[in-house]
Amino acid sequence: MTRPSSHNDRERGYELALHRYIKALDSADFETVAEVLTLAETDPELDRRIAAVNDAIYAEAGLTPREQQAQTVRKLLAQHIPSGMPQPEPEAPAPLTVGDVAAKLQADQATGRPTLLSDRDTNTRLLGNTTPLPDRMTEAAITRLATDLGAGGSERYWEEFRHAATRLGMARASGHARLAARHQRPTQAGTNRPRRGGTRWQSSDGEPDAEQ
Amino acid sequence: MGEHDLTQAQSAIATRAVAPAHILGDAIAREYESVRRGIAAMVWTSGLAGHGDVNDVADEVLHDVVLRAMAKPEAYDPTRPVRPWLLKFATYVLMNRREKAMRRPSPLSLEARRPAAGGADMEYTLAERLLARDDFTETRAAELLDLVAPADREVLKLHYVEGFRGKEVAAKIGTTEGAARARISRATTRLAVAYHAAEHTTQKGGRQ
Repeated sequence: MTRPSSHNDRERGYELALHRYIKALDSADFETVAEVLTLAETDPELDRRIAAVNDAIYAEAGLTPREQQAQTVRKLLAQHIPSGMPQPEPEAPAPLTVGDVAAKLQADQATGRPTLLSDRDTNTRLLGNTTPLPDRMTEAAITRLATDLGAGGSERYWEEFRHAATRLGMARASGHARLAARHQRPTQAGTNRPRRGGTRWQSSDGEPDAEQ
Repeated sequence: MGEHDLTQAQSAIATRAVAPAHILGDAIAREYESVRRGIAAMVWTSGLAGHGDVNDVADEVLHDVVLRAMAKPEAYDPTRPVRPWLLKFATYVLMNRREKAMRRPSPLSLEARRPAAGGADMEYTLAERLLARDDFTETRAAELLDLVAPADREVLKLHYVEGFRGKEVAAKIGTTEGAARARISRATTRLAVAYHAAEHTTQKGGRQ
């Protein structure tokens, strides 16, 4: 079948871009990955093909999807868009504390996840500390927290602390969302509609769900 | 600018002026699972999760990505796909992690550490040249394809010799489009490596 040369050129362009992208992924060359993604920002077809490759690599890695992450991201977005976003959760969970994260790091060490032997004393001192964590777990916020606590600890410890705090926050948010989902009534005219798999949004004023 | 273009531009400006945070929030909600899979793919292929869970690291990165994106909703252009824009944030987060993960500062600059510029393009062009239907004899093509494993041979033949594109190759080998493209890409690299190794051996043999 003979194709017009412009079509062939365009197709070849896509093939080259995808080869560049896949090779960069395999090489951890994030700079090249970013360059190809910049092209995809103005090319929906390239974006689609890159997404197909990402899905294939995800499957290749044997990773399984996490349904509850929809709820977690929803909660994150609601923190940044307080007005106009639905807040159906009935009661807020207790805020996470510094002591909660220190306990998580200690548990990680017990289960074989590498932690920081030189900072063990710092972590021990923080167990039971009831200081609430910052709302946004940015690097700057954690640095301020470390200074305020005066607990010492290496830069790497506080980096691990931030990662553990993020994981705990997301796990708690998804657990709370599951609880909220169980408390919701089944089909009702107007507002609440049954959730399926945690991937549909609901709005409290009856607007159609935003589909994924 | 035509009337249609003006209307689209006006619409874009109006949309951005009204509620960029909501628009971006909706876009993230639609694409978050696809973005998360993309981030997980980056984490897995780069090995940055180390002994940790890839999904955990991907979730952390996604968290950072959402924070960064929502800090500047006005930077998002709603007329463009949001997924690559978000995935770019992820590459910046992962670049930082990669630098921190290095046990000691590298004696090489970041630029020097990157794979050779144009390397991927050269590999693809080489494969096209070596296997292009008009230029080869069947014997020569078979010799070249013998340099690689049978699984690579199959996709290289379909793509470069027979001229099938990713979607068509996928249909022929019974897999997804993305998986077919990944196989073609990796086979292309392995062919280039094997070809250069064979050429080097031949040249060494000629000099002796």
